[in-house]
Amino acid sequence: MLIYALRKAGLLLLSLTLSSLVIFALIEVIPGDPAQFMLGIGAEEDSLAALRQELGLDQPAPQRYLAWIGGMLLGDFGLSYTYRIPVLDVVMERLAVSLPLAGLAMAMVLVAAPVIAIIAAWRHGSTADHVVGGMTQIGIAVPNFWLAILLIHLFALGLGWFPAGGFSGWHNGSGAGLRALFLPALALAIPQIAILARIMREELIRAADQDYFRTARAKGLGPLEALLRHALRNALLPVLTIAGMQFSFLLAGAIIVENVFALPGLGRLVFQAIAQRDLIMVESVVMLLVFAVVVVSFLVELAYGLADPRVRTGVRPPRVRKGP
Amino acid sequence: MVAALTLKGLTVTIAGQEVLAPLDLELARGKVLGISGESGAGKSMTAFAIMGLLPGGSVRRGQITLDGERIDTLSDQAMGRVRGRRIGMVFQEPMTALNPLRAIGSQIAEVFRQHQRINRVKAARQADAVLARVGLGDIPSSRLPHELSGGQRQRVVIAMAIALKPGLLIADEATTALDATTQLEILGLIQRLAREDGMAVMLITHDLGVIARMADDIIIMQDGKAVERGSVAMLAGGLTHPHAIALAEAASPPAHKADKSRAKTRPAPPLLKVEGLHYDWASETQSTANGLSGGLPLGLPRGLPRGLRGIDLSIGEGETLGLVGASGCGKTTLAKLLLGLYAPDGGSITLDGENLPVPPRGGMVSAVFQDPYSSFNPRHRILRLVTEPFHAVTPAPSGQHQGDAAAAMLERVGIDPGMMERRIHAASGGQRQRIAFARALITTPRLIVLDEPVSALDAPIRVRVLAAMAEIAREAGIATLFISHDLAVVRSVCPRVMVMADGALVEDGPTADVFANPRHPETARLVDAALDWRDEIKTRLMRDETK
Repeated sequence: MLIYALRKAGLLLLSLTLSSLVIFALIEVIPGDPAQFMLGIGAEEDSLAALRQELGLDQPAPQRYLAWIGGMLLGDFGLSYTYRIPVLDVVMERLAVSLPLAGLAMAMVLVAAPVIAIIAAWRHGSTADHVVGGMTQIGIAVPNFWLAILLIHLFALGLGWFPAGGFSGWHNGSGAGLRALFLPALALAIPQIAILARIMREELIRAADQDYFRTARAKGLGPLEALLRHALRNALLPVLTIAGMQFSFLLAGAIIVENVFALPGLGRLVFQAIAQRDLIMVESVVMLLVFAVVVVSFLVELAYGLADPRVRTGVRPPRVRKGP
Repeated sequence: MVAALTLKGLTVTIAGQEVLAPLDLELARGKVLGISGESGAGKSMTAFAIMGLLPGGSVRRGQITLDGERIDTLSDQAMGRVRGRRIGMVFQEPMTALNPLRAIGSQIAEVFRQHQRINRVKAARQADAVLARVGLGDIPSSRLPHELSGGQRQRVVIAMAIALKPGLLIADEATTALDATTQLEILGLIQRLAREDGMAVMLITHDLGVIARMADDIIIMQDGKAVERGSVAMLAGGLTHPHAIALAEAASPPAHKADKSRAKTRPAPPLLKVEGLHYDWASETQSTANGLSGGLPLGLPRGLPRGLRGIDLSIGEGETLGLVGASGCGKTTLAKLLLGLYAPDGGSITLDGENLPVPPRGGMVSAVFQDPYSSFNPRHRILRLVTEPFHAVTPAPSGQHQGDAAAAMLERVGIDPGMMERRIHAASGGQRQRIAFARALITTPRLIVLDEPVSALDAPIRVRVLAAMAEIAREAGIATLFISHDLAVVRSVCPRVMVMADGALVEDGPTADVFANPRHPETARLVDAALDWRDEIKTRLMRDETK
């Protein structure tokens, strides 16, 4: 397991390095001069040059790349071009909203999706299964901003259980914070629940079609018992992959929901930074997100090793042979 | 004494179609009932009907009585208390019948936990005891299925089935996927356990050799009907139904008649010549296994091929050479070397006097493998499947020419060329293997390697496919290497046979001589382990007489 983990960790470093290069290169080719943007159209040429020098924009690209990476490794993400304060401070402030939001949504997904999937697979082909099939179809199809508005109408404006938007920070107690994040998390989670439940249902049904599931039934296990003990873990591998991708998406892809609920999250930060040509902010946040994605998939791969002992030893599953 | 199992008018219908005609039978404790027939005859359907585990949408009618108690009326939940406790079942595929993610001990202990109110520790202790009973006392119960050999896995499945000493054991093709020696061991184990516990055994197998060795009574099924039934002694000349007779004949085909006129003339000049062929498997496994895990924890599992050590062989034009040996002896490794899929570590392979290039030039060498179900791409039409080898030929013949060649070749192997526009799922198992032959022959290769080409087919189809194939190879002057673990098939197809053991050839000679007077212990072991129903029934009848 240790060797397996080390190998995966090596790959992790490699993908981080490669993606940092790609991000840097992309930012390089984006049109627009931050100095020009900051000083406005009518700025003098020599003040532009001075600002470029101050921002380090006059240096050659490789040098700027190294400075950027080196700074990040030391925890110095540089100064925001727009706000003139350290990027790190801004990011940390936003992360205090985005991370709990993604975590809460993910928790909802990880609780609801398996339950729905198990019920559907257990009652495979029944009315319950068809209802689940229809609901998940709708869940995937509905755009989440519309879902968000619907939730606000129902639970915030109608029933008044949750605030309709905004986030006043964690200093008012975690209860208030969580209440503010509940509806946005739900809006984010519902489509993901639908996706994961569908995939997991398929995997469970596939696992229940295997010979060892039949063996379990022949031992006297009931359909649900056999499903929980002999199909669930086997169905988990593809589910882990999807769940990992979903978490990354929830962390970075919440822009629209953040806007609807007026939450100061990472998604909005990136959006604004791009609009304002705050390239160093964009670079750093994107790199941070890449880091999160890569780390999450690293964790997923480690979980693979725990869930399936064959992954650790590199033995492939046996080939299925049909005979007379 | 109440019978362990009684069936009265048991039928199964799927979508209004009767797949099991009314079946009556009685099976006493301590007795073995053998059920045989071709695939799809309803053998397994009978077993699943008794277990109450039929596929969704099927309807079961009739009475099933277990130790005097009706079980066909029980709810699925109540049947759960019967399955695993009063009926044990062993399945065909030891590779997939165990959950790959759970230790074998916990899978056995689950039977105790399911049916008895005992704690984890006690269940684990009992599981260890059962493991010892099936001869796996020295295997730690923490092993995962993939760390065991096929025979060991089947012992684990048997352990689960007999853990609670059920009155009835159903073995559905329990030894079909095992090699002959392992098969004998497993059959012996089932026999011993049945005797010790006084179990009734329902033995479902297409292999009449197994039936002749084990069963007291037999039932032969065709299209969901029992067409022949009686004491096992009826195999010795007492069969009356034409299908049963055909099945028995095909299962033990007549030996190959060596062509006398040709034997007298000088033997054909060798087309394929292999001299001092060496292959070191270790280099291959190290590169794949080591990097991931630092080697498997238990050394290489049994059944992994060893290397090849100094193989010499030659096959003449139009000759079919048989190659037999226990699993893992290197048969398939040799096949892959001849196909140019592996590069030899020493020695030479010459075809028609020329060194065989690696990989070989397009169309010179071809192969047919065991599994007719997974060796075709299901998305392509049969025309494309059959003409695929032309890709390797330069210059490639025109499409028109390819189509004509495919039609001619399909006709040659007995497939209607009209099937060319269809996809592979339209073909039966026997047809698929004929199509595989057509694909292998279409570039008129000089050498064709057949690796267990008919193992997955029923006996009557097997005989027909082999006859067609042998004729084509002889006429076209193709050298054929026929690899099989089935001595009866080799005897009927190959005039000459070689025996392989531990990566070396240990015997070579006319098939009838080699099998009748084995000189090498490995040959003797193979011959002893092979179950030919004629020999088996003769031995048993003789034993009964002396009693």
